[in-house]
Amino acid sequence: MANGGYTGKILRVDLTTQEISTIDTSKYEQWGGGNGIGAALFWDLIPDRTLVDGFDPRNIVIMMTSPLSGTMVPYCSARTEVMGLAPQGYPVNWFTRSNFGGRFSPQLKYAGWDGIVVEGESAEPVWLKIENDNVTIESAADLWGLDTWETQETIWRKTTDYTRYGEWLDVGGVPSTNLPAIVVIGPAGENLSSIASLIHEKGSSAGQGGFGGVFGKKKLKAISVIGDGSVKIADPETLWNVRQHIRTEVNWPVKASTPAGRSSSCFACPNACRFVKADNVGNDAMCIESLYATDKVSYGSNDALKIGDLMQKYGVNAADLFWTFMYIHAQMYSGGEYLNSLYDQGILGSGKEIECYPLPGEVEKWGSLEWYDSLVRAISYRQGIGDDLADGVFRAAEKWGRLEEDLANGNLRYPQWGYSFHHTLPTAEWIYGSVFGDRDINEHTYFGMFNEPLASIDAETLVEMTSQKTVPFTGDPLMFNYQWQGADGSNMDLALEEGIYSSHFAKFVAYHRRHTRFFRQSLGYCDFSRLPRYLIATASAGDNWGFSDNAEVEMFNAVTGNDWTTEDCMKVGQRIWNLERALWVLEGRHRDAEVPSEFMFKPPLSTGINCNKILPVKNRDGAWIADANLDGMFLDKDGFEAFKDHYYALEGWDIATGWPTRANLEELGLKDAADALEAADRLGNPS
Amino acid sequence: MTEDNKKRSKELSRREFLKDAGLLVGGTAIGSTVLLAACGEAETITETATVTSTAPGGTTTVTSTSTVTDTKTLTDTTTAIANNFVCPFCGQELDTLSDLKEHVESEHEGELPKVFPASTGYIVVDSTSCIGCQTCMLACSMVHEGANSLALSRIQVIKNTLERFPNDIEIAQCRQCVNPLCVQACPIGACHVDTENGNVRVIDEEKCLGDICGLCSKACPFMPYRVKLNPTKNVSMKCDLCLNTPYWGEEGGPSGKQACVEACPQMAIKFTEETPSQQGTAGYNYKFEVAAEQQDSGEGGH
Repeated sequence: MANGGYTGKILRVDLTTQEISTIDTSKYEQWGGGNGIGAALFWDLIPDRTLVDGFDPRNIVIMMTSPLSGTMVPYCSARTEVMGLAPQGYPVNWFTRSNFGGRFSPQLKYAGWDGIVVEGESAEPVWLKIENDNVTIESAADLWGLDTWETQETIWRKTTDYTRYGEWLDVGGVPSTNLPAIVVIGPAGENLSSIASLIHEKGSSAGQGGFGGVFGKKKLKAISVIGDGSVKIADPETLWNVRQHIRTEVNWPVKASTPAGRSSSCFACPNACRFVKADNVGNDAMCIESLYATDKVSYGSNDALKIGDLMQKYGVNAADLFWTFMYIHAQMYSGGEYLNSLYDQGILGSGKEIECYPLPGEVEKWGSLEWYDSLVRAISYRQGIGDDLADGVFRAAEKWGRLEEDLANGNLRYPQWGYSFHHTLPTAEWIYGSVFGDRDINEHTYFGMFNEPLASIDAETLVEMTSQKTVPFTGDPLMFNYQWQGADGSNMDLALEEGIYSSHFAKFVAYHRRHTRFFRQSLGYCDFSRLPRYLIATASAGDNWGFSDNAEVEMFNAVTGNDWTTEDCMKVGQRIWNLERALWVLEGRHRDAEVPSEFMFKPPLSTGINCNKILPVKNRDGAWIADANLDGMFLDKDGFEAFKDHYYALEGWDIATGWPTRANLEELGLKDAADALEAADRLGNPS
Repeated sequence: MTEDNKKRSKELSRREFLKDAGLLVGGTAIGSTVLLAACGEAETITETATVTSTAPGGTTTVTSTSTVTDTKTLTDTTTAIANNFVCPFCGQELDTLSDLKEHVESEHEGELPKVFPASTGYIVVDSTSCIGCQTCMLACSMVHEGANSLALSRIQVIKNTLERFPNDIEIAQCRQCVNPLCVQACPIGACHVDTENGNVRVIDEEKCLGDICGLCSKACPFMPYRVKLNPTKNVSMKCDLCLNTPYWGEEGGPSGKQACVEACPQMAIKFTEETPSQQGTAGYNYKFEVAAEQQDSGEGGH
C-alpha cells in the first residue's frame, strides 16, 4: 500500500436513495488511479455487464483523480478522469472514458477524496456539495436551466457566504483563497443530449462520450468541491529534484502577458496552453473549440472564439459539433478545406428534404455567428433539426437514412463507434487504437515523437534509438515503419511484411495502448504535455537525448512511495486495456465489428486534419526516410484484416473473435474477467 | 468524545479563529445538522460505515467517519484549549488571551524586542505574468510541510477563471514588512524577527498558541492576510523566505533560495535584497521582461 498520493477513500453517492457512503481506495491502488481504478470500480459495481444504455438508471458515472492529482508533478496534476456507459457510443453505449483539466481533481483530493461514484437517479434536480468530509445533496431547482458559467457563479455565491473576493473565503468552515471547483452541465445535458459535455470553469470540459447527458438523466446539475487537506508526498526531495530536472531539460519558455491577456494553465502545469483575455472572449479555449471558421467567420477571430464559447456555455461537445457543422454546412478547417455538406448538396435547408428549422432560411446568414448561435441553441433545447442533432450527428444521419451512403463517400467523417475523425490517419496507430477501443483515442503526443525530432535527426537513427525505449517491446525499429500500400497499391507487400499491416507495427499499437492507459489516463499526464520526453529526441541533446527515460515513473514513485519499474507500469496499462476489452466483449464486441467506416478505405476527399505530419518510412531499397507525404494514406481491407490477426495474437486474444482468452486474462490477474466471459459464452479460444 | 463531536469541535475552533480575526461573515456551524442514525453497509467494497441523516430543508448531510489523521491533531488541540495561556517567560497560567497579553506587558516588559530591523530579503511578484498554475503554493507547502497543499501554503495565488484579464489572477505574498505588525501583535514573541538570519519575520512553532490566538493574522494589514493558520499543526504560519524547510535539499532563507521562486515556470516571483517601497503595492510588484530566447517556442498545443 502506498504511503503518499492517495487520500484513501472514494465518495459513493446514490441519487435514488440519497445515500452517501465511502469506498476504500487501498484495494484499487494496484490500478494506479484514474481510468485504471475507474474500470475496476465499474467492473465491481455494475453486476449486469450486458448493460449498454448510458441513460439507464443503473448506469454510473465515475470521476477519478490520480495519486498525482493535487501534487506539483508537472503536466499531470489537474486531470479528472470520467467513466461510465457513454451515450455517444454507437451502436451501443460502450464503457468509455473522457477527462478534463482545470483544478477539480486537486480540490477533490484536498477535500479527502480519491474519486466520486454517482449512482441512481434523483427525482428532482440536485447538485452535490463537497466541503471536506461534509457531503450534501442540495436542491438545484434554482440552477436548472442556467448555463454552465452562470451555474458556477451562483454556486460560488451560495458556498462562499457572499464573502468579498480576495479575502479569505469561508467555505463551510474552510478558510480559502480558492473558490470551490465545480463541474457542471448546461442546457444540452439537461435535455439529455448524447453529445453534452461536462464543463468546469470557463472551458475545461469532458466532451467525448456525452457524460453531460448522463448527468442530466440523473438530474445532477453540478458537483462543487473544496477542501483544506493535503496530498502527502512520500519523498519530497526526489519529487522536487525530478521536477526541476524536467524544467532544465525542457527549458520551459516564459509566456509573456500583453495588455490583451495572458497564457493560462491548469493546476501545476507549466505548459500554459490556454489564454485569458481582457475582453473575456474565448477564455480558456483550447484546440478544437477555437478552430471554428467559415466564409463569414475567419479562423482565430473573436467571432470564431465566440462560437467556441457557445459550446462551453451550453455544454455541448465541441469536437462533435465541429464535424456536425462540416457535415450540414461548410465549416472550414483552418487550412481552408471544405467537405461536401448536406446544405451545399441541396439536401438540407429551408423547404428541403431535411428541414432546417429553426435555423434561418436566408442563405446569406448561414455560417455567421448568429447562425451558429441558433444552431447550438436548437441542439441544446432540442428544437427542430436540433432534436435530431442532439443525439449526435452520427445518429441524426442514421435517422435521415444517410448513414451508409455518407460513411462510404466520406461526407460524414466518423471512422468508428459514432466518434469523429481526428488525427486518425496517417498516424495508423490512431485508427487502430480507436477501432480496437471504444472511441476516438485522442492521444496526440505520440506522433510528436517523430514529427519534432525528424527535423534534426535522420530517420534510421531515430527509430533505432526510440525502439530501445519502448518497454516491453524493445529492439524492433520496424514497429515505427509507416510504410503503407501506396495510392496505386504497389507497396502492399512491404506494408504487409514490415509496414502498417505487419506484426512489427502491432507492437507499436500494443505499446501505445498500454502507455496511454497507464500514464495518460490513469496517472493523468496530459495528452498535450511533452511527456514521455524520452521519446522526443533533439539533436542538441546528443547522446543524452530526451530526459531520464522514466521521469514519469520516478515522480509516481516519489509521490506514492511505491517502487514500480517502467515495466510494472506498462503491465498495469495492459491490465486496464484487457479489463476494458472484457467489458466491451460482454457489451457485444466481436472481431467482425472492428472495421473502420468505408471511407477509410478510399483515397481521402480532403485531408481533414493532418498537422503536416512527418513520419518514418522504410523504403523498398531498405533506406529509412522522414516521409512528409503521407497525407493521402488510406487503408486496405485485406491489410486491416491481416493486422487484426497480428495484433490479436500479440495481445493473446482469440484471432477468430477478438475475445480475450483465459490464459491471457489469468496471466494479468484477471480471473474474474475470464470467468465472466466464460459464463457469457464469450471467452476466446487459445490459438 | 465521539468522532463526530471531535470533528465538530475542530471545525468550531477553526471558525472561532476566523471570528477572532473578524473575518467570518455568516453561515451556520457545520455539523449542527448531522444526525446520528448509523447505517452499516454490508457490501464488500464499502468498508467505512457512514452517518446519514435528513436535515431540515430536504438536504442530506453525511459525515464520513474515516478522519483518523485529522482527529489525532484535533485531540491535541482540544486538550490544549483548556490551559494553554501559559506565559512563556515565567510559566504562569492565565485565563484568557488578553490576561496573558497584559501579564507579559506588565511583568516581562524587557523580554519582547521594541526595535525591528528591516529584513534583508523580500519576495516581489509579477501577477500579470502568472499563469495561475499555483505550483508556487505547492512548492511552499512541500518544502515546509512535506505535503502538497493549498491550505498549507504561505503564498496565495487568488484565481477566478470566469474573470477577465488581469482581474483573474493575483499573487498575494508576505511583504516582510519594514514595520512588522504581525510581530508587534504577537503577545509572547512567537512571531518574531530572526536577527540571526537576515531579520526575516518568522513564527516559532513551539511557542505559537495557534487558533486560540490569531492576533498575527488580525494584525496583518493586507487582504487576504498573509499570516494564516496551519490547519494540520494548529500554529500560525507565514513566509520565512524558506529558512526552515525540512523537506528540501536546497539551502533556503534570505541568503539562500526560495522554493516559490525556484518553482515558478514564468519567473513571476523574484527574490530581492532591496527594500521595496512600503507605500501601497507598487514596490512589491515588478514586470518581468522576457528575453527573446526565453519566449514561447511552441511548447504548448500539439
